[in-house]
Amino acid sequence: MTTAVAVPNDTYLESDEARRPVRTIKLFILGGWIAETSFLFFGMIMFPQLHPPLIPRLIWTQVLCGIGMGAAAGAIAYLAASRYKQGSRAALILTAIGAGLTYVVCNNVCYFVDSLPGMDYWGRVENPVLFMTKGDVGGALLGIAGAFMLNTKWGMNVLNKIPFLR
Amino acid sequence: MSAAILRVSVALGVCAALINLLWWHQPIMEMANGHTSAFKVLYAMWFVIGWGVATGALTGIAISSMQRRSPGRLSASLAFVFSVVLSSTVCLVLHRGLTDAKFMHDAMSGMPPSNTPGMDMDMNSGMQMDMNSGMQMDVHRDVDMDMLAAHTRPSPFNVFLALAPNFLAAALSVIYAFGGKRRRMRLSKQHRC
Repeated sequence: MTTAVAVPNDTYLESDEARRPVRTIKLFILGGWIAETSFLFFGMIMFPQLHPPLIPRLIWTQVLCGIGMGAAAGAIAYLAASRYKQGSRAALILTAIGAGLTYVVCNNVCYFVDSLPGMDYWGRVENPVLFMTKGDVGGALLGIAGAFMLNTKWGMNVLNKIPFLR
Repeated sequence: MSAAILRVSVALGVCAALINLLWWHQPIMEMANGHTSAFKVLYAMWFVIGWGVATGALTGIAISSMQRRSPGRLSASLAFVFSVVLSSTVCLVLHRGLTDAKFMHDAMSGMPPSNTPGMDMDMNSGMQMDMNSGMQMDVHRDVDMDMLAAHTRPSPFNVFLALAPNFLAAALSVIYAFGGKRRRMRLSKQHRC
């Protein structure tokens, strides 16, 4: 049930619980997008010998990996934890597992796609261990960080200050 | 957004992805050919996550944003339009990646096509593999070559037909969210009377 609190200037504030689904999805979209963009630029710095046309890579990493993967991770994280009250330990753990696993699955498929001949995103050929580590560890950490933001008082205070996530 | 709306939009998105996976099984799974069953399952999961869960979540966000503004028909129409635009964007990029080897190569490649050993790129005919004489190719690379060659054949994976289940899913989600809301408002009015 959606609960709302009336405030003076004809607006209303939804409760944290009512905002939880959208907030979870938006948070993981933001997290996934930041991670993908960082990987893109770090890849260009760390592996300067890899010079692909930038537009297709930007489209793929920003739209599918950033927005699509983030939205999916957020939805799965929310659906996994929605039975439990926001802030509970069970909600925190399930949110982290749901989002983290989604990112890890995506990274493993990405690793495979980069194994095809002629493809070498983010040094997959030069340093496969680094590729797997940054994706799997980064994905798991992103899931844990998102879960903490959504299920702790400190995290909620931070989220309330960000207009996109308010 | 109520949790029910998100559940419904994600469930409908997953159904759309599963319909596409069953209908276009061959072209979608082509890149996973030659790999283990476990990997094929992982690959199919990735497709369902990208094509179904992500689009369902974006539909949920679009519906939620419009519902906050007003529960009327105009908001419902706008929610449908935004849902279709958001989910189509993700699906079109995924479709392009699955069907256009040139795009996939540009998105993921490390070297320009001319520098790639044994590979000759052509904008019109896609990628043509050319094994250089004397080049040592291991078994794994052979499998990858076969997969890439399969990936470059003209795909029957039609984008408009593939998007149709997603449009239907978005429409049903909007009807559920806004139709349900109006019904609840009518019921609450009746209760008050």
